[in-house]
Amino acid sequence: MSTGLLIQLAMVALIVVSAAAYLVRRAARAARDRDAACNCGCGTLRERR
Amino acid sequence: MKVWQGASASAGAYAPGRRTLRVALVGNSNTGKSTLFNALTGLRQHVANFPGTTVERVEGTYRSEDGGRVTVLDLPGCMSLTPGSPDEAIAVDALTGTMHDVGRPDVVVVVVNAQAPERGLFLVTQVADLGLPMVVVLNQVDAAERAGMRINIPELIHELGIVVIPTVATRRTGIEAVRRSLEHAAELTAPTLRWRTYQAAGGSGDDTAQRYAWVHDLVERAVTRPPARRTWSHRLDALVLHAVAGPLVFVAVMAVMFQAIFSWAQPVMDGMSALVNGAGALATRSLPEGPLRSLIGDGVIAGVGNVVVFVPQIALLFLFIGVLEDSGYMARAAFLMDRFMRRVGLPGKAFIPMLSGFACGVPAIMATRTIEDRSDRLATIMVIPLISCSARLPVYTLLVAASIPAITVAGVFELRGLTMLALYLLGTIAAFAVAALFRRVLLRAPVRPFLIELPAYHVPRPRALLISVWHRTSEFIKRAGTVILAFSVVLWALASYPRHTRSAGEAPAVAREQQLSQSVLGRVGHALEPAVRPLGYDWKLAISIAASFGARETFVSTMATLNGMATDDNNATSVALADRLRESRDARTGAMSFTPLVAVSLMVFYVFALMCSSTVAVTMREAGGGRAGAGWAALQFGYMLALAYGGAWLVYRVGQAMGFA
Repeated sequence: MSTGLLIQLAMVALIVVSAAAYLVRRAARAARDRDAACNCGCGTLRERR
Repeated sequence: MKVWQGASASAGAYAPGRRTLRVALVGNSNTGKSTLFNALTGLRQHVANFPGTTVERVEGTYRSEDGGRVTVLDLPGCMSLTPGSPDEAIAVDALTGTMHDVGRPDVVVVVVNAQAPERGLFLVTQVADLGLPMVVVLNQVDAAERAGMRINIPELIHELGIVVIPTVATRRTGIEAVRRSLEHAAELTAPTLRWRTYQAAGGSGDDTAQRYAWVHDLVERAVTRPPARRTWSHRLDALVLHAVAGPLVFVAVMAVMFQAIFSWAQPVMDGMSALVNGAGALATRSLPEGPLRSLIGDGVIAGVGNVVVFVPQIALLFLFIGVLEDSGYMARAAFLMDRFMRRVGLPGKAFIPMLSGFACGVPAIMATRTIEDRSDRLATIMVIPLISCSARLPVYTLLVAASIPAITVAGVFELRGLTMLALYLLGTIAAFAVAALFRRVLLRAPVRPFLIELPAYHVPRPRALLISVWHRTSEFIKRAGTVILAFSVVLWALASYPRHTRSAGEAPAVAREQQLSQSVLGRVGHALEPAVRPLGYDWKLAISIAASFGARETFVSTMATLNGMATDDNNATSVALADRLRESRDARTGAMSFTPLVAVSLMVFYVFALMCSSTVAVTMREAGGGRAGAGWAALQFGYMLALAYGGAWLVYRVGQAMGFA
């Protein structure tokens, strides 16, 4: 396996793991705090302090 | 009878620069509290020209000229301090200091509509009983002047014993005066209403009647009205509220809206498609062959790009909803629909939340707080997600573009636009039908009479429109750049691994199909396929449907990723994606896998299915929370899924029987 391919694979792995972690974190946050669950595109529930 | 408390304990406690001054904005519905709130704080809270726009308390802070912090609390509109509905209860609790996390305000600003001062002044007499320092803001004085009214403000000040400030909050007129009066809050004392003297002198009737009698006398003296004449607002109402013409106007407005969304947005969408194409081509050119190129091209650009191309359409939908809200037509539509709503067993008040459901179900469900009766409110909450929200628009557009020919009907209407209208109508009709069923089975209660204030028409203000379109659209874009992006990346990985080793002599197209089929995603899809086979769907559609249960738009990105990877060029754009879907074939049998019948069946599925975790969460909360809330949310999810599956199955079977393959 060439070095170029290895680097690509490492970057891909990093991106995929970060994306998955982001989704898990977001789901956990939404489950914990239902007030912040609005992610529908309306912005109504967004905190405006 | 409340006890007169004299000067408030909190009056005088505020010293500039030392502590936060808490100001509460109260007033009748649709007097412009949120507009005043925005003008004071510089924030951009949603405003609209119909009663019940604000159903939650919203807080904002600004610094006064002397450096003190001023926190402004925007409260839902209320008619009196005897709460009738959950949103009014919020206002009352906030003023009386019984809300658990909000202290009693230092100053109360009562916003009174200058065009109809009686009801506002009634509220003033009640707020005065709380013994808090007050400021009365007489808003919309420009409209009152245009209507020929003359208001004697010194007389009002004299009789009320409260500062009265005339304002036009939409044009920021009088805002500085309001700020200055708040800065001198320490000098404001609790009001010395003459109504007390009136009462002491033995005014007749119960408490409410006495207050109204006093207010009536005051308005007689302080306000001069021109003789009644028909304004253009009245003339317009004669048409749009007419028993026959009214519903026709309503249908025409809706038809124009959907035509426009489908055709006007097209040039901009084409431009955005070209941009996405360009980005795809750039990625392919500049990256070496390998997994990273595939991730960027097939995962990120195909997934996110295909959702982003819908931004012009979404913005146009929000623009139309904004115009309907701000012009005053929304309240007329609610009034018009009352007779029909009554027949299905819903209160007329339910119509405004249902209309705002076209934008998004979450604020629509929140907006049901204006409905007093619990059964009425629950029935409305249960059916709101059947109204097609903006997240369904990308799915509909893709399916319509992939299956309905671009032809014109009757010389004017595009068949695709009409199909969109039909999908929206299907959802709306289903909502009414299900509501009728709920009211007859689970939530029986008599329907109450409907009273709604018809606000004066006005030309929508560009600034308010732009704010609302920007807010809602930017949230959609943000979502594409975060959740959809992360989702596309993960989906790409699941579709790319484990790798399939291409055998000698295997055609590239077959190898790609094999790769997809053997990937984690492919295996899950094949496992799910039996569940959707009766609807005529293949395993790729099974994955796309399963993926969109968190959020509907992911259907588009999933289809883009799956179909982009199954073909050799990875510059999938929305339009190209529609073509690609139309031509997709089963790799094993060579048969068309995405026939028009499958597309129509899918459309019906998406009209009915509840695929939005946010809606489930908000239903749980608004239906009472805890086990009861969870029960209602589960019922909502379950009946909608059954309706979606049943409807899609019926369309597919009937279509087959009629000879459509």
